[in-house]
Amino acid sequence: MSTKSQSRPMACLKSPFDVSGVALVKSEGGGPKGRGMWWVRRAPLVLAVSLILFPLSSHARDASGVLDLIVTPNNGMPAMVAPDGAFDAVLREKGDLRLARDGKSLPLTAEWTPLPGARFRAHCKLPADAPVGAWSLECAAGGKTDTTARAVFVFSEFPEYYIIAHMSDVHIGHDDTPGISDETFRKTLGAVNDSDAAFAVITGDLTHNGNPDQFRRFLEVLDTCAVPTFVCTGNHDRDGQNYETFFGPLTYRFTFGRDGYLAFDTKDYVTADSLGPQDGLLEEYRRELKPCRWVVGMTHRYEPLMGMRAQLTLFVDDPLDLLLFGHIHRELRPEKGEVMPWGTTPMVAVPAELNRKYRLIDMTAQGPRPRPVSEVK
Amino acid sequence: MSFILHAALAVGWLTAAGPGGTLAYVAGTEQENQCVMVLDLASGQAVRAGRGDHDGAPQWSPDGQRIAFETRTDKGLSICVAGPDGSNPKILGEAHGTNLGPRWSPDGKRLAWAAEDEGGMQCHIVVCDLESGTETRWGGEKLTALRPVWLPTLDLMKAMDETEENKDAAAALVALKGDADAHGALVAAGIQGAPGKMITEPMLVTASNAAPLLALMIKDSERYVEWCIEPDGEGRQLAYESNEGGDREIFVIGRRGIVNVSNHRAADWNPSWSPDNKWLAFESFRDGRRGVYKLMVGTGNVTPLDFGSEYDCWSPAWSADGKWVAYVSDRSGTPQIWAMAASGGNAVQLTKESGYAYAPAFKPKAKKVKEAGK
Repeated sequence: MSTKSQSRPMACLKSPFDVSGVALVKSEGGGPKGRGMWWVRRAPLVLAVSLILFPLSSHARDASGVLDLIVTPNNGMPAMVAPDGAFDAVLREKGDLRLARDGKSLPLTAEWTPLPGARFRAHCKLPADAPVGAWSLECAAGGKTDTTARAVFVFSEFPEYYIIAHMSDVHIGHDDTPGISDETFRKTLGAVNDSDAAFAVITGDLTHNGNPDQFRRFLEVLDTCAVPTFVCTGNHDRDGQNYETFFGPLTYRFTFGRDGYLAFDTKDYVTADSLGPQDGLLEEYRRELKPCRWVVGMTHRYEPLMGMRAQLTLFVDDPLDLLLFGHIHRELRPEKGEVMPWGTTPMVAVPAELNRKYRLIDMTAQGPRPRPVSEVK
Repeated sequence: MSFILHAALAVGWLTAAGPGGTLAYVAGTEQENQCVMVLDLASGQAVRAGRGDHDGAPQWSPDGQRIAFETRTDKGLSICVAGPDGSNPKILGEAHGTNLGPRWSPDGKRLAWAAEDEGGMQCHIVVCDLESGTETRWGGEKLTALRPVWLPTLDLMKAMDETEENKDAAAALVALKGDADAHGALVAAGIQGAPGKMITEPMLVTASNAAPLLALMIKDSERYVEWCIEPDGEGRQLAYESNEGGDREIFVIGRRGIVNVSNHRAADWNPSWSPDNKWLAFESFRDGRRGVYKLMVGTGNVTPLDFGSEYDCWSPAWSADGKWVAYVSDRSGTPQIWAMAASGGNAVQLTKESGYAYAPAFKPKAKKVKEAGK
């Protein structure tokens, strides 16, 4: 872990894969020479070329773009892992797993555990010399191969100080001019690519009507992002179970270095799924993330009367350090009483990406520090 | 010998066969089509009893002849009362934007729920007289509260005496007693404090007044956050969950005062009284994931009913005879209703919905209705 990065000027962190000198030293020493730097400098270019050459594989999955053999990780819920580290994948069949990019592949060894509902968990171990950068995850089983692009991101290390990008309310398909929402999203992701963000979170209303065509359009633009992207569902995304078929679980958690992130569903804000599995998962994940330095919640919508047990778990019994959400298409107005009624968890709402807005948040030793909202020109 | 073996096998088979009676639950693939269902456990036949639009957890009337549940209407989230076959549906609470958690009075003539009009934290308690359709705000104009539950009797209130330490609180209780004698009483989760420091705490609620319950028994009761307050069938004990002690625990107010009955470093929540008032079924994370357990209230002894390393179990509900506990489990991949003999054994799957099934509630044994407040 880098401790020097606390005092680093933000602008010098040009890419998440450039967060440490360690990777560069390592690659110069034993690994493929210059691999880390090569990727760092050309990541957006490589992604763009890949998208042109392999437009369908950009969101891979099955022919219609929905998740196939590989459920997670995927490009809305990727794995972030260090060389010699490990990540868990959930699959519909056991198979041969490998990381792939640019015609190269990296076989993975996996320990398999059967899960309820005819699924399997593969605990995948990365080799110590795994090159940094974005990888597709491939699974070959039963005569077919499934590829999920931008599913695994190998980081040379996870620094103490880093930046995340927060977007919400993309509303792909809400077009006065056809395609304008896609183009706006593409520009915003371009701004994120140009920023120093280590990863991006998009807290719901990815689409305007939640239909498969809009999800496919969303994915096509999402894959132009050079950094890992984590998504939540919003009320506009819930036409049937389309969100789940494109991105998998509604409630999940991940870590970046010593920090924890917890995504949850508040589509029905009144009950927040109090009858279903989410309340229990939140307690399990919150407890799992308890040793973390900071824990950040991500959801689409916050209302003071949303499911009480979820609120007790996240804001009272063991308060989150920050809650990120959207939905209201504007910033919060604390002066009008828009504050968390329970406990001390600070809340940050980001205005709609639809209106070219996003926010960077510094993750520091003193806690998460949201910056003012940025607007894409 | 052979007879004993066959008898044992027969008992085992009967146990594995699952509970009898009638079970209500909600089923759906998403909240938009979530519908109250009623399942005849003997025949395996399930019928739609709800409206199929954001239907909430079903609550049986004390005589088992009607079901109340939340449902979405064009006015917002309302309350529906219908027969177990969906007959004679009646929509209530449409004057409010959101209506949550209907609970029947002991005599089955009234429903209480929490209603909210304008967002924010302005939730109040509504009591509806089902015969006249009249809705009344309970607890006074200042009370903000959620999750009301009727006290089956006023025994607990009557047992609370004034001491030197609780003079003020006891005075508030005296003011409630006459009202409670006339109209009955509720317990609810009162919302107290300023934004940033809000808590919920058990409140005694009558038609015109409300008073914090724990202030009658302990000092500094407002330091903790309580939820899920459930009286036993006789109204002599109250179970509730609280974060006192650092994590969520189940406490019982009864003859021995206030006792932390679950007492574990992992969270314990959602207590459900057995029909004989001796046991609580509850959810706990003590073995890792969310499981269903039971505890003997008198001793605090805990017995696991169902838990697993790769699945969750939740929403325990006792059968009317106290021999079975139904609950939700995703052990088959999607959440379905399962049951286990309260004495232990194998889990039995009760529903095989194409989507999910949540919120089981056994039809109660019909019993003589109690007059309000008696």
